[in-house]
Amino acid sequence: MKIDKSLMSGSTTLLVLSLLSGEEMYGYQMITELARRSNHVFDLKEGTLYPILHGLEAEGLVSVREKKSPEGRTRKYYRVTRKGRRALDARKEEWVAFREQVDAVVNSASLA
Amino acid sequence: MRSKFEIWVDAVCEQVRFRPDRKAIARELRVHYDDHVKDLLRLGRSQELAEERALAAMGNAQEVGWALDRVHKPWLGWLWETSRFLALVLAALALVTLFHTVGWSSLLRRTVDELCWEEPPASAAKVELEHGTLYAAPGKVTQDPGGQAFAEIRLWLQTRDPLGVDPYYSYGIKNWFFTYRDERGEVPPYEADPLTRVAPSRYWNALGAGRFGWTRYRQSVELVLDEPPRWAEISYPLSGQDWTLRVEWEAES
Repeated sequence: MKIDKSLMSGSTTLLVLSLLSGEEMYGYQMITELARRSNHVFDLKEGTLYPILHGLEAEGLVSVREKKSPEGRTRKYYRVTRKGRRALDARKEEWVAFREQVDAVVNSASLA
Repeated sequence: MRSKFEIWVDAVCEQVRFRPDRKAIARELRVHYDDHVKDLLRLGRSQELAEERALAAMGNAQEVGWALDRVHKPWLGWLWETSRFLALVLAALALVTLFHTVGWSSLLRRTVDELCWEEPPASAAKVELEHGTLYAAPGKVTQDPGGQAFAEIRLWLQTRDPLGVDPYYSYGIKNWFFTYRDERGEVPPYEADPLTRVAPSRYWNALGAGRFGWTRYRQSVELVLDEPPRWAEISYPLSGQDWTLRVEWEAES
C-alpha cells in the first residue's frame, strides 16, 4: 500500500528524529531503515531527505559529523541533540493526540 | 560526457542561491546516490539499471533544490560567513598585537622557563621586596691552576605579578644593577680594558643563560676573584632600598 504524499510530509520530521533517536545514521542508511521499518510503505523521495536533515541541523535538533566508512568513503552522520530529543517527545505527543482525534472522527463516521 | 546524475545534481545545486554550500550538498547527494547504486548492483541489477533506479529514487531535481534553498538561506549563510571572517580577522589582530608586544619566541620561552622553576633551598638568604621575593644561595667555588677563584652565587626572584619586560632581552640579571662585595671589598662588573682587552683580576659576570619566566626568574652570577671568598653580599643601592643579602661558603677542610 502506498501512502499519500501529503500525509507523509507532515510527519517526516517525526520519522527522521525517531530514526536517529536510536543511533547516528547517514542519509542512505536512514532511507533503507525507514523502508525496512515501514515494510516499504513509506516512499520518501531520497533527495528530499536532505532538506529535512539540513533544516533539523539548522534548528539544532540534529548534529552532524563526517566519518570515514570502512570502505574509505567520507559520509555525513547525523545524530539527535538534546534539543532534538525534547522536540521528538513533543512531536510524539502531538502525533498520538492527532491520531486519536482522527481515529475518533473516522470511526464515528463509519459507525453512522 | 556528464552522467545523468551529474546533470541532476547540477540542477539541484543551481537552485541553491548560497553558493558556498553547493559543493558540500553535491558531495552528500553523490555519496547517497553511489550507495544506492552499489546496493542495487549487489542485488544483481545491471549497472545501467542500477544507475537509472537510483537516480529516479532521488526525486525531482528542482523540488529538492528549492527545498534545500529554503534551508540554506543566502542572508543567513553570508551572515555566518561574515561573522566567521570577522572572528578570524579579530583573532589574527590579537595574535599580531601579541607578537609585536611580546614576541613569539619570548612567549614560548618565558612559559617554558616559568615551568622549569626550581625552588630555592630553605637555607637561602631572602629579602621581601615591593613586588616579590629575592633569594640568594652560595654555589660552587673552584680555583684554576693560576690561582684565580670562581665563586657562584645562585639567585632566584619570584614576583607576585608577571613582569611586562622580559629580562632575557636586557642581559638578564646584569641589568638588575646589583652590587656585589666580598671580604676584600666591592666586586665590579666585568669590563675588559678597551685597549689591552685584558680582563680585570676581580669582577662578576652572569653565569649561564638563566631562566626568565613570567613571575619566576633564576640566574647564577660568578664572582671571579684572586682568592676564594668566605662570603659575599648583594645589595641594590641604585634602588634606594636598604637591604643586603649575604651568602657564605663553608671553608674547605
